[in-house]
Amino acid sequence: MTTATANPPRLRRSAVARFVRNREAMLGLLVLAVVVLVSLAAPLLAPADPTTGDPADVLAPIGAPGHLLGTDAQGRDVLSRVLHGGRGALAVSVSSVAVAVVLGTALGLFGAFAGRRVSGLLMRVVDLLFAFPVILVALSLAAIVQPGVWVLIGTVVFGAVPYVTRVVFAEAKIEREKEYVEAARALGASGTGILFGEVLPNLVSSVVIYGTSLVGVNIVFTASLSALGLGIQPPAADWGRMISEGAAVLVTGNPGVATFPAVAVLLVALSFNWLGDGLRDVLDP
Amino acid sequence: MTAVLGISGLSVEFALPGAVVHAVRGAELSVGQGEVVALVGESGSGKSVTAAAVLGLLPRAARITGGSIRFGGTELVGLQDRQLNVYRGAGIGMIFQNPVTSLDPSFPIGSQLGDTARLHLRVSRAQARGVARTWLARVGIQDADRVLRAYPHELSGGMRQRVMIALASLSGPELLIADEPTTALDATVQRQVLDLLLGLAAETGTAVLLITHDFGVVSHTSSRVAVMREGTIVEEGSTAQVLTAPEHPYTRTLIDSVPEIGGRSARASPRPAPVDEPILELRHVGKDFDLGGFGTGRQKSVVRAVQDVSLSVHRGEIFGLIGESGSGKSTLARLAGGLIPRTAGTVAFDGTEIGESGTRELRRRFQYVFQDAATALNPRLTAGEQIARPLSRLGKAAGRKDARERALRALELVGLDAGHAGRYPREFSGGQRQRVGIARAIALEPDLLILDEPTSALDVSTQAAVLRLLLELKAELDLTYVVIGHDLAIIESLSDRIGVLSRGSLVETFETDELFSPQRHPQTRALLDAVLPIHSGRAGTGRDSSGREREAS
Repeated sequence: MTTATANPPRLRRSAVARFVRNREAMLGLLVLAVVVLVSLAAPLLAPADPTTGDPADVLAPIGAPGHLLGTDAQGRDVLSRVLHGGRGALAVSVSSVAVAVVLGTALGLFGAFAGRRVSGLLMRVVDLLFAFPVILVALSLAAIVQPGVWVLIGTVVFGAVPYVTRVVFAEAKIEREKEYVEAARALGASGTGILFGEVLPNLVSSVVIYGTSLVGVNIVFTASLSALGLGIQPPAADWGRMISEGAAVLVTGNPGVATFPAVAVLLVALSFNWLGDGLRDVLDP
Repeated sequence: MTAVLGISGLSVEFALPGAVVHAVRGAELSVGQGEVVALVGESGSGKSVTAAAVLGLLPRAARITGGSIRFGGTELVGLQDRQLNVYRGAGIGMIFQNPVTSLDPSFPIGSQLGDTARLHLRVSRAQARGVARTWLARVGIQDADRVLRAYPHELSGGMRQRVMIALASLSGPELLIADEPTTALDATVQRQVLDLLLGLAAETGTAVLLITHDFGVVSHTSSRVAVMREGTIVEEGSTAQVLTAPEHPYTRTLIDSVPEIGGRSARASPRPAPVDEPILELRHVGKDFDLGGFGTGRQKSVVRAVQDVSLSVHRGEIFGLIGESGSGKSTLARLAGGLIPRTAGTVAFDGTEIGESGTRELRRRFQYVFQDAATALNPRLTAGEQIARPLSRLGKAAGRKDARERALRALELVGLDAGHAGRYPREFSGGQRQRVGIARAIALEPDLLILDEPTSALDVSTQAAVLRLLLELKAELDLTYVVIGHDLAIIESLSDRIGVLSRGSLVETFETDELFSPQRHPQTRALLDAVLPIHSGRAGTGRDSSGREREAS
């Protein structure tokens, strides 16, 4: 029994405390922090230039002198290339997912609060986007602009927007029926005021959680596109590209060339997913 | 008298992250053979946890830390689930608060009743069907054949609770535990369901442990009552004695907090006569909702939520609007403020028709307090921000600083302080949240306030405090109220005039003093008859005669 001025005890720990106690989330954050720092400092850390090879020292084994992780078919230092290879992938995935999240949130919110016809039309278009083969988008983009970073960004945005839109649409539709929206209307809030001032704050956590997981998925996806030759172009170091080049020499006794970048991709993708799960526990109790 | 159920020294703990909550601490309670005992308390007092502990239905985080629960001659504490199953259903039946969630939505009623019959009575499939049909008849369901084939969602709330009673009773338990069995039901249905439960129990000699927060229900049903507070039983005794001469101060506060029907004349404070000047006028207002249609997979149909309602509210009065759930009272409230578009009729606020000019001035002067502040406040905004925002938006405050100051003043008016401004809604208790909701509305200094069941989500003692606050604010700020409710006692205690809604139509309006007049509409009488008074002896001698006695007076 509580009187008007007595305060109920806070039974929950603060969000930060809950996050710190979440082992997976902390591990994910730690790995990501290391990867980001290493990527930023790659020019300083890398023992050799990642793009110039030594034709005399091709396919050196792991642990060869001067090449801790060996060299690839063109004699380039694998360690240096792994250190450099995350820069493009990370920047592309994070920035394009951010763009997709903003676009998708705007579309989803608009759809949820628009009239029945408009929202129906919008969501059917989203259905269409779902059915559209993303690889075709990548190929067409590569034909229009040169293969490279912009193809990756365009493809990821195209691929991720429908997912974000659907998630936001579903959540915003639930929020729309809640009484606080009606209360805001009774308190004179305009349509946009309700959308951005009242409903959006209630969606931020789920959007952030979903976006974090999307980054993980798209790290793998951009690596695949680069491996296909649609993404980051040689001679620049890139994990995806390295995997496809390394695959050619995988069976000839040089597994390291493809394996090390593959492990890096796996680790980063996993970390983003762990972080996303952890954030869910923290923000969406 | 031998005890069917004996609880002694029972303690239950909840291990929550960062805290251990002692939900029940040393509760003592016994239920004799064929006896009806009420366990009454406010939310969080531990009454439902006590009931759940008897059947071993405690949530995962909870643990019995001490005491004993004896059923007949058996100790139930410490038994494994399998051993407890012997007593569940067969020995102790349980009726839950919400039959929507406690009946399985995927199976028809007939199969749920039949399965229970086969499990406990060991009868064949065909016999089980017969048993199910007989029991439906016993709980007052006439078209048993239809109900046997029906799924839970196809039945009304009252019907579902009847089925639930049949389900719990058909195995012939010695004890029925009913946890707030009628809280989710309308007042008129509540009485029927309670009477049914009592009748069956008397017939079969079943003891009933009734858990409730409502003293009207206690008075109507039980012979003995135990009052629970913060996990302990603070008072126990015969119902008549506890209700008329409570010993514990907490019990007294609780009983005094409940507004009693017919208690209006006893109230001391005289009201200033309302000015005879309508502030809100509704003319032939109607609202249809379109259901189904293209893309929903259902036939298009129209529901008339409100039809042809005309009424006027005078400046300075409190107008009470009462009706059962689904009678259209909340829809009408929203129509009056133009929150949803009307299908028919006109609404005029202070002489100006709504919809003609901009809504800005209307919104400032015409405010709402919603039923459940837990949902009516935005969970992600601080209390101060929620109050200040509309102030700047509607031009009531000159700037952000002024808005903040006004917000703090509004918080103080409702009995909170400046420190509460930075808190989020979940950090408040239920009563405090409703105060924030009220502060948000009155900060705009409106002329008219629509209160949509402002206290139905609150405990009785909190309810009394909020009602008192509303009356104080009205006097202080010169407000006009429209109060919407389903509880006739509250509406009667607050209002100057009352309007009764039934199925979307306003069946009558009258001065509150004329509530007991013999010319009242049958619908009003039905609402009046459904009221379960605490002091049944006050108006008449027996429980059943009390309603009629009062009408005659």
